[in-house]
Amino acid sequence: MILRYIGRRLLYLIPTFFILSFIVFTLVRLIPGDPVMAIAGPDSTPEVLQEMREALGLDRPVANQYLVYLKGLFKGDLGTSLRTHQPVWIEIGLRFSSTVELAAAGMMVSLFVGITLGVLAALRPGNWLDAFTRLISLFGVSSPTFWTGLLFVLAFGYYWRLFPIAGSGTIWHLVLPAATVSLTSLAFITRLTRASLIEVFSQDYVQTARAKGASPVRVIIHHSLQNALIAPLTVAGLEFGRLVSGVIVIETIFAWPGIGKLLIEAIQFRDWPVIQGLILTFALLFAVVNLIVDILYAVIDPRIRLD
Amino acid sequence: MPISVKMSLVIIVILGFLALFGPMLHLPDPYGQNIANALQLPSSKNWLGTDQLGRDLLSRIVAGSRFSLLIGFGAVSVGLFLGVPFGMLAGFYGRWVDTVFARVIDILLSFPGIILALAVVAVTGPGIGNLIVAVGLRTLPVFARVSRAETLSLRQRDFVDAARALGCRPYEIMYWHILPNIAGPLMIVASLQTATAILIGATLSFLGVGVSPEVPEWGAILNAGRPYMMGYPHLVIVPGCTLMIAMMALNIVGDYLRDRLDPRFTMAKF
Amino acid sequence: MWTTLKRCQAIGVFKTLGLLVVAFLILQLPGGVMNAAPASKVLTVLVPAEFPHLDPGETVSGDQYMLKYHIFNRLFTFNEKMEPFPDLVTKESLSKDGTTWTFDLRAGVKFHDGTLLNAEAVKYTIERLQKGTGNQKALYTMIKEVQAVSETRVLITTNGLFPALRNNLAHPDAGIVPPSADQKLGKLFGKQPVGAGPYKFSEWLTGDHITVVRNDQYYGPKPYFEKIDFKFVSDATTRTLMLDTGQTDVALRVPPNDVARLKANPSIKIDQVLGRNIYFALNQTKPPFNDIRVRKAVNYAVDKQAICDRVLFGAAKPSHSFVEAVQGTIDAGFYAYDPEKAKSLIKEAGATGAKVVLVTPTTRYMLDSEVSQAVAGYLRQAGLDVEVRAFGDWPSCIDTVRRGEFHMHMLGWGGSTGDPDNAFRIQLHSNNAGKLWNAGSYRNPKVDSLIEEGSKEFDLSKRAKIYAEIQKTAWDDAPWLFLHRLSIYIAYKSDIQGTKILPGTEMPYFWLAQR
Repeated sequence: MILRYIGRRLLYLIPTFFILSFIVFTLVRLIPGDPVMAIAGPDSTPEVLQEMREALGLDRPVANQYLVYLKGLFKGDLGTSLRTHQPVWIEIGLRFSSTVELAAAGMMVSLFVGITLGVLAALRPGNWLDAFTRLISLFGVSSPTFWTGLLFVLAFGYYWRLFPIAGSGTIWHLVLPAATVSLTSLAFITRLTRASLIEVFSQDYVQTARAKGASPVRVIIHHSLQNALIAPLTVAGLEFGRLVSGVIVIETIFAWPGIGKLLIEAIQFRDWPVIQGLILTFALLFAVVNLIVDILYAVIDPRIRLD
Repeated sequence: MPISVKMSLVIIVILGFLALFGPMLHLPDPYGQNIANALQLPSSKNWLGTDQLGRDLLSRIVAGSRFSLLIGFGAVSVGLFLGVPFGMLAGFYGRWVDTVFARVIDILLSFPGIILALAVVAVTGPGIGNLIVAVGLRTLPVFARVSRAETLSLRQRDFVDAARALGCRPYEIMYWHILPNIAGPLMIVASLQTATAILIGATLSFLGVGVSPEVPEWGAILNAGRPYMMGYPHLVIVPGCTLMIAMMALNIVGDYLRDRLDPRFTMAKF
Repeated sequence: MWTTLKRCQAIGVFKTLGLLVVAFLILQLPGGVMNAAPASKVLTVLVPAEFPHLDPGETVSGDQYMLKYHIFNRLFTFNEKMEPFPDLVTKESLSKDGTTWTFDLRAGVKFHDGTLLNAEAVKYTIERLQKGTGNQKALYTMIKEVQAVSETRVLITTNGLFPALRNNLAHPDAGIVPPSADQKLGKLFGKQPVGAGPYKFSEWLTGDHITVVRNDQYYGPKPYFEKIDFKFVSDATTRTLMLDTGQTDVALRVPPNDVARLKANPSIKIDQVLGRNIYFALNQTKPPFNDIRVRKAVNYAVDKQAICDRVLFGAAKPSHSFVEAVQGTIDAGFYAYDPEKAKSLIKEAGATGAKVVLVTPTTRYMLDSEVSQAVAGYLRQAGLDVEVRAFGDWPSCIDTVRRGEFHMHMLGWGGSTGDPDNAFRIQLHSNNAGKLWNAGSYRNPKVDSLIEEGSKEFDLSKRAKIYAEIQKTAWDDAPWLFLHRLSIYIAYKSDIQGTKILPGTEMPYFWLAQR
């Protein structure tokens, strides 16, 4: 039953992907601005521009270009960057790991800190720790990433010289950007952990365990946590997708060499193949994550499976 | 009603008031430059100081509330009026209608919010109307998804069968019976999405797309003030805090609504 | 329902996550804490904008010049006065008719891959660009033929008289390319450049940094720094902060508002370099700027000194001519701040309330957005209805010029060959009306003929007179809203000495620098 559902969803992914590629292709070409002029520079003569256009295959009719693109997609070829003449997948690949590193670090921070805070808050609902945690999570959800990023840079990078402000290379460079990226997800996860843990605590089997004399720690870890964590982990999966999109701003502020920064640059230079490839990558990533979350959701709530 | 919710409602009302009646407050012109008076710290003449071109910061923040709320409510309206019918139709009819609609929603949802908005604004150009459309395209699938899920589960219920047996036509059922029942969750989503919409709008302005640099949108003010933040932090702290407070208020209200109306919603996706 | 996710599986997931974290941390440890002082023979430079490649012959940004200057050599090089002096050339002579140049090259110079830099390489370089698609092709269009007479002797024949040949050969894009490496790498040459300059290309992590290492076989004075890391940080505030916190040695293009604070810091010093002339091209093809009174009014309406002092924090000086980075620039005049005169001129021309679309980039020139807003403010006081249209990316800006959808457009000119012909021809000649650098479509037949005359004149004093007249004539036509000449700030740790700047560009070079 579930396998059929998963299989069906995966199958649907394929036409989605192709419709996406078409939308992306058209969207990108609707953006005003001539890539050849952007790359060659405004001082170029018309002859130079025309030569470059031919060399890049941009003088062929649009339908033709799309077919070439589509054929390439089938083979797994995303095209060649207009700017650097490197294959797009290499351009993306070089930076993809940096973004994943940042997103993963952010994810880990938000999971660990979030779950811990959520557990601590759920233990004694209503006391100062709980209130403090609720405040932090409210702050995390409400603050714009660029704002918190700025605050972190000022506080921990400038006034107290604790961490590097920008660039990449060592784990210390990762701290500030990861902290910024994780804040919103952290807030969500904290709240969810707290809420679902409280709900679990009130369940009979937990009461039974406590009555039998199990220590609070054992009650938490052994009996409650894995059940309570289902909801936060589910949302965490969704958050990963959101994290990846949030890195655009972060990579700009912290000069982190990832695909977010690449996207902004590609838009600047109208590097269509790269823009297309990146949007497809983002979309694919997001779609896969959504799919996983949907599956998990269906696993948990049988009613939804009835479609 | 807890005090935090009361305070948040007050804040939202104040913001709405400023947005609507700001121009009548006889504050200095938010676009009015005075180069000789640039970068002043808060004083009796300029309560929040001036920015790098001598414009009064307080009046810019007040004017900014208008833009931010416009973006927030505009985008959510797009989501509500377009997304909800979409989702309800999908949930109600099911089968192939649902499949098609679900695919379309999936596609829209495949674009992470900022990227979709970036792409749309890149194509349509800067401007507040375009910004609302861009952000609205992001809230639309959320509303659609929620109304679809809710409609799906409600569809099985007895009262729907009863209504059908009584001869109600589909749109009547949807309008009179299903819609009131999903209004609760929709309100929750609306309040939370308003916050998200304002946030995305501010982020786009921060990235430099979205509105003209003279426009006093909070994210734009923050972006413009950033180069000066070392010497004049008020240029960054004020818009940042304002954004944060507005978002906090909206989130608190949304949470409260959720707690009261639909506790099951703790696990829902946004 | 809860048993769907087995308990042990959940714990297992948790354990795996924990192990991953530990592994991650261990792998990253050798990095060291941020305050560890960098090795003193490595120089870190923060570069604002990345570029797609380092192929000599195609340039899209000034920062590319800097890298090419370190990696490649040229026949000539510019001195501080923007005059070309011999670099790879040891002896030169010119034929009687002035069209054939003979250059003797330095012997024994090797490229970074070990091959010899000889006359063949020079011929290859020139023909390569002439046959290719690089946007700097114009450097060599006047060259008819190149002959490698011997290992070290090159004959260059030009189409007609071209006194500025040496300037063109000193251009950063005139770097000599090794035939063997170029043929081997083909399209990838721009990503792994091989030259004969004081530094060898070592590594390029796109989006992050380019590293060059010292060329120990360089024929000039041995550079001090063994390695230079050029890191890309596009955000100006971040660059300043990184310098403040010691994360870098050099930061290019520090914003003017940070300069005072940095100057107060004893461990940092600042160099000021005169950079571009910033101006607004006024679109003469449609009202209100087709009326010379309105154009002059606009020049009177703006308080340029106030902008320089308050908006730019003293980092600029009001312009007294067109492009002040070239040879032969003179004081062509000055439109003093006179708001009343501006208002009355506009009223006289019937342009009060006229709609003006002001187009500005927002991240291209330092504080361009602020300057544009300030200008809009002044013009509104003078009675014009200004709408500011800002574009975060340069291609969109250029596009609006191409489509004529503007009344005034912000531009900045640096002048990279130092030669006034290049500048005035592109900006003021009617042949180029409507193109980016003559965006306002300025046309004046007298100026046209003067430009033609000047490009053929070898006599330096006669040339100076011609170009002076060009400037005076065009100044009175007020084709632009003349603003100011921006200074660029480069900030270093104070223990770095000997950095020099190539005049006319904002480009420092480091092979003579030491700590």
